[in-house]
Amino acid sequence: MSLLNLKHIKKVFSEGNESEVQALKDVSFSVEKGDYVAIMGESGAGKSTLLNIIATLDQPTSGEIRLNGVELSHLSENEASKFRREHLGFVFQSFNLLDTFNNRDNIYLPLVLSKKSHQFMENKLAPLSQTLGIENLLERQPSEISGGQKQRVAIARALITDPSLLLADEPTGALDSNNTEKILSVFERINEKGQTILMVTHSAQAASYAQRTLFIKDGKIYNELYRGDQSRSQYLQKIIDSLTALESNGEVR
Amino acid sequence: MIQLKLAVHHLTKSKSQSLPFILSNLMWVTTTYIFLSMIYNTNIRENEYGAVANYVLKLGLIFVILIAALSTFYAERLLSKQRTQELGLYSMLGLTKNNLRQIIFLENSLFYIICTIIGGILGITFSKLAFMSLKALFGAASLHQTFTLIPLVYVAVIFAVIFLMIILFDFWRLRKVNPINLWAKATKPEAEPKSHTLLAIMGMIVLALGYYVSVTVKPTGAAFGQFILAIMLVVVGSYLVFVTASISLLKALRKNQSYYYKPNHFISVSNMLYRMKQNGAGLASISLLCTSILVALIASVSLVAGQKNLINLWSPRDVQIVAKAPLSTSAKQGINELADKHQVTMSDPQTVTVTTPVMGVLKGNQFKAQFNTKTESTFSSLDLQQYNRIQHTHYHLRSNEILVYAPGTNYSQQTLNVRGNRYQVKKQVQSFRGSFVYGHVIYKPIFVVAANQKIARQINPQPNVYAQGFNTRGTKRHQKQFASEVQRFLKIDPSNFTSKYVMGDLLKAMFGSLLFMGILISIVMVCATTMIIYYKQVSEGYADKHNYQIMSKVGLSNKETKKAIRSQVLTVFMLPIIGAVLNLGFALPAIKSVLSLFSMYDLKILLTVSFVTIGVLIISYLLIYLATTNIYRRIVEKN
Ligand SMILES: Nc1ncnc2c1ncn2[C@@H]1O[C@H](COP(=O)(O)OP(=O)(O)OP(=O)(O)O)[C@@H](O)[C@H]1O
Ligand SMILES: [Mg+2]
Repeated sequence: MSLLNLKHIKKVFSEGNESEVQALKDVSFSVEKGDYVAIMGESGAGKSTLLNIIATLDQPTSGEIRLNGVELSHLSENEASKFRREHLGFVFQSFNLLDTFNNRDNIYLPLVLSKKSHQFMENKLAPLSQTLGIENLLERQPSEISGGQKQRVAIARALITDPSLLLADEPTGALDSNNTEKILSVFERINEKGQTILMVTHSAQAASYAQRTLFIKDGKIYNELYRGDQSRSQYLQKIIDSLTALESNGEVR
Repeated sequence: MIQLKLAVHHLTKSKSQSLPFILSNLMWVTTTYIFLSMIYNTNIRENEYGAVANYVLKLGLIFVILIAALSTFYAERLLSKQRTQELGLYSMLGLTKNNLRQIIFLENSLFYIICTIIGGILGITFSKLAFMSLKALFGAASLHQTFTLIPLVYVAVIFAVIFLMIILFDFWRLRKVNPINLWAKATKPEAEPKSHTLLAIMGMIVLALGYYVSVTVKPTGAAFGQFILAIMLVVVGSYLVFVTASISLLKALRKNQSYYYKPNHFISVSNMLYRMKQNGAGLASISLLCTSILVALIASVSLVAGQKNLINLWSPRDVQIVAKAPLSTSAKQGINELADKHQVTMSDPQTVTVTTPVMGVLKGNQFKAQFNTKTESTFSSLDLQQYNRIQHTHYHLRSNEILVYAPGTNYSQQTLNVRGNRYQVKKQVQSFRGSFVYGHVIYKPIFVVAANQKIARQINPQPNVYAQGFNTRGTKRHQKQFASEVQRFLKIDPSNFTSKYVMGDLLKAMFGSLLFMGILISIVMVCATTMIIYYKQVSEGYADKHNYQIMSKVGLSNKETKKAIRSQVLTVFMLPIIGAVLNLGFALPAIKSVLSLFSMYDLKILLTVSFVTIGVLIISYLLIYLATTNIYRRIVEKN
């Protein structure tokens, strides 16, 4: 059975209003354990909406969504919180680190919420901070480190719970090319270790690191690419071609 | 003028910052005005007790001005941090330092003008309304209010000084930074507060000094300066301690891993620590205001509760005449006739003969006659035979032995030195049914019982006075009329004539107005406290909102949010009330001695009233806490 399964997901904002928006019309796909999936599409296509629904931060208007066999659209608010904490990790474009904590405590946050012991948290953090190269940043405040470093701290926070699924919404959107490269190679490495990743991105370069790319347009999945055994540059070219097709198609319509 | 435009622009643009600042300032202006108008626009000063009340009011005024100045200073500092960024931008665009100074000056002047004008109007309206409604409630008919401009002028001057200091401080800070720093400073998020061990220790020392002064101060005319000193020390000390000690406390809590890494504590400790620099000052203000509410209420309620005792202290009988000689037969005859005329029966006649009381000070075991600002007691003597007769006791005294009756003075010495002689105190007696207050003065009476007349005269060589009293029975109106006619008939001045019924009315009015003042002050302070708490919660709610949103994405459920908020707000709220009760503990001796100026010596009443008042305050405080927590939660949870 797949790790994540979406069937005919539909999302309508302000239903029945004049300002009604059909953000997602009919989205179905599934993600296997160990997958690395990129989601691309124009601004306003509904990528963030889709991610929020998978993240249990929002509920679909209709359709089924299952993660680890749990039907997400039926969760109560408190159950959703618990589910997020135990099964999901998040990385955001704007880092979303808390200024009130130092970096170490920012990373500990989800574990503290799960009432884990301090010893447990320390044991978890040690290998993780090494993988991410943030051992020397832990005692500093988020305001005292660079954007790329912040994103690595945020990734550590997302991974420290061993989530079944790592969700990332434009994780490199606020970073320069050098830092983007670093973050993407981190993702690649943790994926190789078995971490399932679902990443929304605007950058073809970022998507080229993934094994699979979904293209969303007007609230529907428009196209899907698999990397297979292509080289990165070959795959990148394919993604760019697809994007061009996506855009020109938009103009024709 | 471009500077004025920029100042106005900034003031209106950052409404979320400047509006609370204006509101809290308005509150301080209004409070100050109300105090000033009670001091200058009422007839409170007109009698001896009123003069003492006035003195207490002036202490209250100084207290209010101090807190107003400190919290305004603090609020403006937060506001100017915001402004710094704007000023940095202007200076990059080519405005000179001088221009910037003009902007700062204009902006603060605008604040000042808005606050004094509106605050003045609010103050006038509020004190008028309060007077009318509370008068209707208590019927304090002897308290009048007249309108003069003096309080307004004082308010304007006081706040002009405060704002001038703020402007100078801003100038000074402007001088230290160059345009690039100005720009960079505001964009950087607040760094974690440092612990200031030195300041914390200093704060505790200052506070301890303040406590020491307030415990030791004696309520004489000379003590005004000492009271002010105590108030200043406690206010400054409270601010220092709250600002520094709270940070140290939170850091210590954070170090304790088994405490810190619990969901509630984790969030609340870090949130509070992050904002403690602002928080500390707010907490100190709340704590001090709660203290003042307690002091005002306790003092005025105890006075009213002890009112009955006061009349009994003045005179043991319903009617008492104090004279240099026993009443003549014709005078007695006249009184009898008046009694018949007013259908009043007289009973229990009693004459107490004592040496004329002298004013002075009891220091250690030494009584020294003196009449100046240090005077505390009146001192007189009588012979044992009289005492035994009145009290139905059988004491025996040797020629060097005495009994001491000193209500309100805890005289624990074995001996008493007076006029070069030393006497053995055989006992400090707890009752003397002949005790009276000579001339209705505000000093504590001391009576010394000696073996015989000769020794009594040796102790106090003044001529005898005769306190002659009797009880009366009849209708209340008749008794009152009778008493007034007796006074007129004997032609004695009011200070040597006591009638419980006439006096009772007078005192009721007098203490009614004191109670009224106490309640008025408390209401003003409660409003001030509530406002501060409310704005603290609202502004923090907006500041914390983003954090809670992030945490909810990471998996903080609604239930846990509620718990974390409760834990945070509770900690923040418990500190000031603990501080207030502690302050009160050290203020009680001072309250007790000020109350003794009103001849209120009953410690039991004072303590009972204190406990009840603290209970009421904590309950109301909890209610405010619950209400504001809800507001805070709604802001935080709203998307
Ligand atoms: N809370 C909301 N209420 C109403 N409409 C919304 C809401 N959130 C999103 N939308 C609308 O739904 C559509 C999809 O938005 P979404 O944020 O998913 O786009 P996106 O693909 O993430 O775009 P971008 O790449 O710019 O982030 C947009 O038209 C947006 O205006
Ligand atoms: Mg988006």
